[in-house]
Amino acid sequence: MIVVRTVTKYFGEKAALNGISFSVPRGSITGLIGRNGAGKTTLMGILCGLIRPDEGSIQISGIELFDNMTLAREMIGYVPQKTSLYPEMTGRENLMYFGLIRGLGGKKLTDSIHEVMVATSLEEVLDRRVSHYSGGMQKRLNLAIGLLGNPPLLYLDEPTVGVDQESREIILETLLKMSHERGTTILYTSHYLQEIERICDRLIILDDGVVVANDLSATLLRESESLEQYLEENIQK
Amino acid sequence: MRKYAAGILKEFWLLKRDIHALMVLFVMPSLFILIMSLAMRDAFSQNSEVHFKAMVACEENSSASRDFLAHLKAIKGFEWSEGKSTQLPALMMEHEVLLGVIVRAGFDEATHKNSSQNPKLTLLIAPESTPVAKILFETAVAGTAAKINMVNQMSSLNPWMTREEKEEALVEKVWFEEHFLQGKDTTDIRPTSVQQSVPAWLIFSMFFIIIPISNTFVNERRLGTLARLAVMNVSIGNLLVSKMIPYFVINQIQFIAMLMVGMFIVPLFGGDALRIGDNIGALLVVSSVLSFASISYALALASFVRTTDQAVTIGGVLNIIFAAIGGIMIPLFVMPPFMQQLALFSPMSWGLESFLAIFLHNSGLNDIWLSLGALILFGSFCLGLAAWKLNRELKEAQ
Repeated sequence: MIVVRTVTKYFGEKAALNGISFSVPRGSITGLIGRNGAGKTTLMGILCGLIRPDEGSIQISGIELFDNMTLAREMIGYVPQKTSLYPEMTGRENLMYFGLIRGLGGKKLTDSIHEVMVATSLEEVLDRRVSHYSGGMQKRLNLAIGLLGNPPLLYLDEPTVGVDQESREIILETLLKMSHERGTTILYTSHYLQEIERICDRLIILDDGVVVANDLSATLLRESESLEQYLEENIQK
Repeated sequence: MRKYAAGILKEFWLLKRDIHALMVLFVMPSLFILIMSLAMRDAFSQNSEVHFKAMVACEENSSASRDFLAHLKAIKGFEWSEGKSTQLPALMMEHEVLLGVIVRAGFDEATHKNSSQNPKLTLLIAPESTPVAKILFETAVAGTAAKINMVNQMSSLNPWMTREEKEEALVEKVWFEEHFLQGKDTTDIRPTSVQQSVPAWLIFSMFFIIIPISNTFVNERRLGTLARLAVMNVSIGNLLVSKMIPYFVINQIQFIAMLMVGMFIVPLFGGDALRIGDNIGALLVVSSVLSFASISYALALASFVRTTDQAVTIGGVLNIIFAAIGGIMIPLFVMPPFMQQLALFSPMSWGLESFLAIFLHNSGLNDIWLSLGALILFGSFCLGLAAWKLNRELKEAQ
């Protein structure tokens, strides 16, 4: 689904990404992990087409991202780390707005809103203003917007940061369901190794702008208490 | 197209919940128009109801002093009373009287002579009286005294002149008729305070579109919504245009509403009704160009600030400065020449000049193209600045 070839990005003299290559198979849930400053955010920005790499290429379903940005982006559902919503609008209005932006309309829009609303358990609060939602509800709505129109590819940037246990469960279950029932390809970044281990099929580990491990089984994380411990024991040796 | 529709719909959803912004956009200018039209009505009115309180104190009882008093009382613009010269300073201290004239003993005799080496009139002017009031008062007193002096000299030369003939000589003659210029034509339509206050406060409130625009725009930048929208193939151009359209509609509703206030509400409170002239097309063009300039300016400002508080404070202060130097708060014609030159730096002044040209001179677009051109250039520069900043910010955000 995603093929990244020798992508390099410099910010001034420093290489944020240094010739990284990896691929993400269709229908998989791939965890993208790394320490702070490893280059995850830059990579996410490049995969969304927000940052142009200095070298290398990215293909999404065989489409060259930076040659045919509009078409490639139509396949992407993006869930940013910040709750990028309109707090003064209701949940339904937010979904309608982003649904229209996604190109949905009429019955397709109504059905899609209903579907993501049920998936994220927001039925009862959908007509309330988002500013009255709890942090967890806001994160669920943030996810619901990414799911609108059932995109074949989903990028999630730390979607469970600062979320209560109930909302965390709903988010993780929704992602598993999307992958298993719809075959959605998911690229997931998180600092929580237990989450990664629980939902991801495979792992990509970034460190200091390079891929230090690719296509690892997420179960390898089970024996490590933290990413730092895992990196020290398995990568830096 | 659907993206534009979504953007417009979203702005309306947000706007309808921003009650404070709506108050600023509609209630504030309505009140300003009403208050300022009524407060400045007499400053513009040709049938002035301004009455400066003035007192005459006669120290002699002569036919000259009685004539003097009678003719002063006929002069418009003053509320005359009579009193004693000893009372006058105290009354002026208590603000009961603003202007006073004391007719000294010997006035009658002096009016029969050809020179006045020894003035028999004393003027007292309260410190709070305006220069205009002082000049009007001096002119009224000097004119009346000169007239009585002339008639008394005539009667000295002609001892057979009857009382009736003297009175006839004192009657005010009509020397001129007056018309007001409107375009190349003359008209009897008089300029009124409402013609100044409606466009002035309309423009002021149009520039306060900064409040609702910054409320949404700053949050979109702060919460990363712009990046999310970019991933959903929403371009910066798309974003800016779908913001401009709803606020343009709001500005046009403001324009119509404020004209209605001037035409129908102000007269209910005793003010003059607004006359908008015949050139409706030119008015609509001015309103549209002004809207483009004010929205672009608001977008540029909202692109540079970090919080909505900053936007409201900086935008508010800049608007007040633009208004103060641009003839919004104080009409340009009462400002000294160097302040009138300063008004050239205020986009509000360019808009006001255009509206006043249409209201007062029936001007068309040919006459106001320079002001409109300046507004379009200003708006285009601000819009370009906003687009540049957003583009840069989207790159930096990653």
